[in-house]
Amino acid sequence: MLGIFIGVAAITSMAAIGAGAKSKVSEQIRSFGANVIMVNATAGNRAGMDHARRPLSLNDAAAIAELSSVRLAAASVAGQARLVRGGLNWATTVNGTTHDHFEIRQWRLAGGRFFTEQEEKDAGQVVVLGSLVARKLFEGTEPVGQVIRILGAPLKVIGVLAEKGTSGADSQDDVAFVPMATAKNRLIGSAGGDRNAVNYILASAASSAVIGDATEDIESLMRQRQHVVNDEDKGFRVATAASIVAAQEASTRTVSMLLAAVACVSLAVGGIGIMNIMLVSVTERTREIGLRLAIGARPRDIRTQFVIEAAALCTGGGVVGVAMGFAVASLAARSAGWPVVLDPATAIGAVLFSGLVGILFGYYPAKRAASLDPVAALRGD
Amino acid sequence: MRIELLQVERSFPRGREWTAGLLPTSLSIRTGEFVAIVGPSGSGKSTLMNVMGLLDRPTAGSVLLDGMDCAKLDRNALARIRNRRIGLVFQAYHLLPRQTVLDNVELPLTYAGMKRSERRSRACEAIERVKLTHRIDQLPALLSGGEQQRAAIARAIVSSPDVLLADEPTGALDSATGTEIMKVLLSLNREGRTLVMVTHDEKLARYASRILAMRDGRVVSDTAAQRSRRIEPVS
Repeated sequence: MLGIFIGVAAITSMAAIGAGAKSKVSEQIRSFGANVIMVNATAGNRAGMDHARRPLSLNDAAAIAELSSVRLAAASVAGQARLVRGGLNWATTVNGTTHDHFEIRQWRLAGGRFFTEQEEKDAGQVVVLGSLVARKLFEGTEPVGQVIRILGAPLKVIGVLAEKGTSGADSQDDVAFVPMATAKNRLIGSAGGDRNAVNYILASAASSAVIGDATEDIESLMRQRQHVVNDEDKGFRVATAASIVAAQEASTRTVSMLLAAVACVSLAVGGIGIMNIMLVSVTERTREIGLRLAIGARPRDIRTQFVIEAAALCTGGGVVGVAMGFAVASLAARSAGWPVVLDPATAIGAVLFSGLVGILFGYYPAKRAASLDPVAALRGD
Repeated sequence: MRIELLQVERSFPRGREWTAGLLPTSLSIRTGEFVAIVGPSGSGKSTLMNVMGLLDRPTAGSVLLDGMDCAKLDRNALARIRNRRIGLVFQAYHLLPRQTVLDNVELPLTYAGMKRSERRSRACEAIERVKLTHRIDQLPALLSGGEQQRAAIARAIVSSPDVLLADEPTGALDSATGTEIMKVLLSLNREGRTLVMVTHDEKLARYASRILAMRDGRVVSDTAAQRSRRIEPVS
């Protein structure tokens, strides 16, 4: 019986944890943008020696934007800075970027507007705040039109972004955007000392169907531009949201496999336990079986009765197991920061499966009961 | 129903040898007869009864019910005949302890595949017949021995069988209660049912129209008895 509990609990928690992780992952993909391709600069490594990182440039972004499989590309610089408004301040990531960045990441405005082209060109002293930053600095008052200071430079708040929620441990709303030129001239400076250098480039595929093509196109374009001859020379990495979370999924799968193994073993043990219970029950109820046979039960009727009893026993155990599994999954999900997802279909499926185990392991005892000789059974031996 | 036994033999394996429970026996019981089978324990009474009731298969010979040879039938067909045409009453009642009197009496009808409402009404009739209606919803453990045996008789007659086979039906009861049970069985016999009763009580055997005496696995005497008039059947 305990085996059935544990087995079903393992199945349920496996499904719930898997579904929770999956929903978390798809939530991340959705909030990051399913079509988003990210190009990062990485340090090349030759013969075990790090050599200087070749920065990405505005020109790279422009070239990527020209690709037919790519709809938009936006270069960004980023840095940590403290934002000050009156007596309040908040440290956050300040991104210098272009209007296309918002488009690619599918940011929506809660109020105000994005940068204009003129502001981008002229290094306008404007800033768009993430919702968390706006909340921390303005505490409920209207931010749009107010002036804040970043590293001493006064910037006018022209827009506040709609909330996106968290991605992993970080809130995506803890962010501020300024035009690229503003960031370079006044705030962060250029990455790697080069006027054209940027930290990363975001691109969006022409459609979600061609995201694979777009990724490959960008990869080969960047290889050309950087004259990469072998992989060790590569100074960049192209990644999609899907490829980033794939690694997470793989680790979830490991947990799932482990739980599946536990489920298999304990269901087998539980099933044998059930078989044992049923065999004892058949022995104890020999007279009853004999009587039933004597008054006209067919062997088939007896077999059905005992199989149903075993299945009912296991189904009951399955219900308890589902409750246990849900508790385990809730704990695991809470500690991992996942949502708890218990699909009713999974719960029903797990209970039905334990019933199936009952039928499987109850069959042999039931068959034995059905093959009893009525005369001997009535005597009770 | 007419019961015929043709050279029926039943032996049991005992180690490497076979012990005869019933030596080759031929006999015929007519419809409506009341036959008592008497004899000391181990004489083969119950073996003969089990073979007649299709609970046991003879090792040789054949049992004919209304001329039909039962040796050729499979377990399911035998179960069907036991269910519909033979009523069995046992010394130990064999009521299911966790079911009420009504459920116990209904049981054969369940195996006959009858609908619940019809099962109910037939079971109630049968219970009425043995005058146990006041106990209908009780568990067997709360009933006296006589009441339990009456419940068992109700179960035996619920599917209106042609034959009642009673194996020491009064064996576990005191003589007054035994007489009560005997009255019930007699009245059922008078309605035209064939009644075969195993007993070692010579007094009860005298109610029968015919007495088979057994010894060492064979029928040693087969006599038409003078039916006792002392007990009037309950109506």
